[in-house]
Amino acid sequence: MSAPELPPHIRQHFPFPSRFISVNGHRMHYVDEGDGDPVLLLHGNPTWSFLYRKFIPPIKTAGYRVIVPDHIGFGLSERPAREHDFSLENHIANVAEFVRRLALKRLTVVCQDWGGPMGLACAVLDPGSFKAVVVMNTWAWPEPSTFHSSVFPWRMMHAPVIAPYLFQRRNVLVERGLYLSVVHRERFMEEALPAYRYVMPDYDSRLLTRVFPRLIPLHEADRSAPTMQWLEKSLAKTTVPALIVWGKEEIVFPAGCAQRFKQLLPHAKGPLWVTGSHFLQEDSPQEICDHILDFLREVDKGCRP
Amino acid sequence: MPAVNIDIITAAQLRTKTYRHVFVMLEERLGHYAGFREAFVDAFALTPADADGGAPGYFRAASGREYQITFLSRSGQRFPSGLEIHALIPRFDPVDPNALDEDLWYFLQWMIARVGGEWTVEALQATGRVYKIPWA
Repeated sequence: MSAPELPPHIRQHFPFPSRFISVNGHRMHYVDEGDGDPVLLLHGNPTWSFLYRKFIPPIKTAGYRVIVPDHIGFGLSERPAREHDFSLENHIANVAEFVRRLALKRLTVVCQDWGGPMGLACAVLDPGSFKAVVVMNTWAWPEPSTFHSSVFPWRMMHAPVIAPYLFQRRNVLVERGLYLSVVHRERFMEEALPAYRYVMPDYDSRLLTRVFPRLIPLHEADRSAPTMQWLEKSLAKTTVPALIVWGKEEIVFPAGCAQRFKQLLPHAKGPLWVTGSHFLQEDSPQEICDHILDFLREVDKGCRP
Repeated sequence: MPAVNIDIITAAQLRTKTYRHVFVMLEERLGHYAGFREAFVDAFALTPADADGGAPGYFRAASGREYQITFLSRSGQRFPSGLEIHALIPRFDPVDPNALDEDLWYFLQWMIARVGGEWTVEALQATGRVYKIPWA
């Protein structure tokens, strides 16, 4: 299978060879750089592995193998065409199968947004394979944040009939949502937006951007609620070394979510606060990498449980 | 109900006589939030029997363009479970996606006004302004 040709203005910021693997019958794109204990970087909606482009070189240079997949439906991975193809359980199963297929051991997962429930679920499903977890601007419980439970703007955006209009016809999450969710906006517009726009060129390619918001449980009866309840209970029992990094300007998962992770994982280091809105990887990549590498050095020395 | 220029019409009232169907968008989960399915049931007088070969719905935008709404049925869900919207474009005419989007923005306002409750046209307009919808 050949790697797609990214245009030079994107490739210059993302010079990593593309790899592909079949997970649960879907074609998943990923980057795999370096040697050593693996570090798995998981993105959320509506981004792709490009989000971690500035994490790959420093973590690789520090002696780790850096692996960054595009979730099914995003980036350069396969895009199933029907909303009913997607569920939180399917996404978790895809990441779990990816980890199994690559036979990753002593794995650290770094996760943000939807990467959180997926990566953390994999860690509690297969604790023997995981060395540590790093959580950033995400959640792992059934209760929604204030942002997610409000009609304006979030629930209105993905309401019936409005969602395909805003997310798929108008591509608002990429064209506007990303911009509103970073601190360094001029840099983002010049360097990063073209890459996020490139992989969402048309109506069909944007399906997942509107499917994911509908998977966020608001009530106990919602379809993802049982999995989020299971995840929270399972995480409370885990002793895997953990680091919490949070954006100071984050509004999607505000500061209280970082504190809730600290209650859930009392042994965790942090929260460490960095300049960053929801997509903090765009705002403070070097600072976050420094925190991750300091933490991994402590874990490798056995300083943390 | 706000004054938004959407007219619900019948097939017999279509002014576009020879047209092609241009897919506009698909909603597979009309029941994702309560009230949306009911808004269409009321506006188009749908009954469960319409799931078996019932007629589509039609509307005309202020621009004069006309649209067909195909109501979808899915096992285990109440009818309609979803819908497809197609623009009815004179047979070989080109399509301007932005012009369709303008029509649809007013259609969404029409829909939200019928859903009511916590779903307000003001909140839709405010959402549209945040996300730079030109007609919001």
